[in-house]
Amino acid sequence: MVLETQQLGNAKVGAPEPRHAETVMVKVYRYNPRAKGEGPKKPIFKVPVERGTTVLEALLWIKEHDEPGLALRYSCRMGICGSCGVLVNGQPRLACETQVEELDSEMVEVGPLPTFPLIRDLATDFSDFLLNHHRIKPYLIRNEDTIGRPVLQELSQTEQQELDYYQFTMCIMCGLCNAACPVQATDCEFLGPQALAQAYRFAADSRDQGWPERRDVVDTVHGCWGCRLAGSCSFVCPKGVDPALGIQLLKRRVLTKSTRSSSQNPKLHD
Amino acid sequence: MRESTLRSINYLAIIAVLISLALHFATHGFLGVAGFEDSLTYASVIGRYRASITAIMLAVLLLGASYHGLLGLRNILLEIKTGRLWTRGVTIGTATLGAVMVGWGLRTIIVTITGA
Repeated sequence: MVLETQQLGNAKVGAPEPRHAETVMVKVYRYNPRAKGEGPKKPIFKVPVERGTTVLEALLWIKEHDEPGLALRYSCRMGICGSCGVLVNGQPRLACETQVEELDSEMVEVGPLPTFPLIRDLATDFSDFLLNHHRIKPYLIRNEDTIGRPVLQELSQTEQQELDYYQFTMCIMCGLCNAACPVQATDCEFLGPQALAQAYRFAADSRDQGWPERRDVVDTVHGCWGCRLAGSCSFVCPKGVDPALGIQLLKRRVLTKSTRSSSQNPKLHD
Repeated sequence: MRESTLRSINYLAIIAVLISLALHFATHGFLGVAGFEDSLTYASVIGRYRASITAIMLAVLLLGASYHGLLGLRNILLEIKTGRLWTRGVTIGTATLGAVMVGWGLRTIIVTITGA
């Protein structure tokens, strides 16, 4: 049921309702930049909820019953694909992992992720985000690759060597860290916490020999040195990754590790 | 020059500023003076300038503070606007401003030392 704000006032349905009513008001940002003459709107919907209902399920209920044209991105519904990142009550969250009940609010306000260009409604453009991820070369680089011989041997690692970067492999590229980053909001050339944390993930991998190439990308004023250590990226990460830590470790690596000494050569096994 | 090189110099500048600033305040409080008012008399100031160690300390403070301050200004300006031309302009502009500030400051110190 869609209700305009004025109707809500007249019907007194805007007032907090008791829990047993099992409904919640969901205010959804709606805007199509291509539709000329139409500004952003925030219609309010009354959505039935039960224990465990997620924000994504509430949005899909709205799409099914009231607004078939509502644009949102989602896929796995279980916090793995990282597609359904939205702004829930002012904080970047995965809609599928956020239960309405945990918000403890009579009004749930859902908007698109800030710092990302808007496509429509809740759907944002990840092109620049993915381009920045691509720029840091998110794959293992071996010197053998450059001379045309494939790596056919196992590259062993100790447990500690794996732990050095393990948490950063948990990134699902949902973009919540970039959405929460204040530097990203002001500096459009900033690589962003996701890309920088991934740069550290590969730089810290003992099997990788691509530090000279990655260093050129991250050792800039819009790279790791752009980070002001607000820490909001780590606060919002749904997978418990600490991108702020990754960026600081990356800064230390840039300062202490020369390009010559970066060629790690782990023991090869047949 | 790499950004990390600029930051490394900045960290050294911060240490230099902290040490020289502490010494600077000490010379105004208890090192060789009777008190703060005494440290500001003309004879006291000129006397300190002509001591080579104080002159070196002031030069280090000038260099460190100028570098640290102008690198900060450069970073703020680079956040306001982006683009290759802007980045180059800001870097050259702040470097030039720094050279003028340091040059003028060193001139003052040298002129005072030599008594010209």
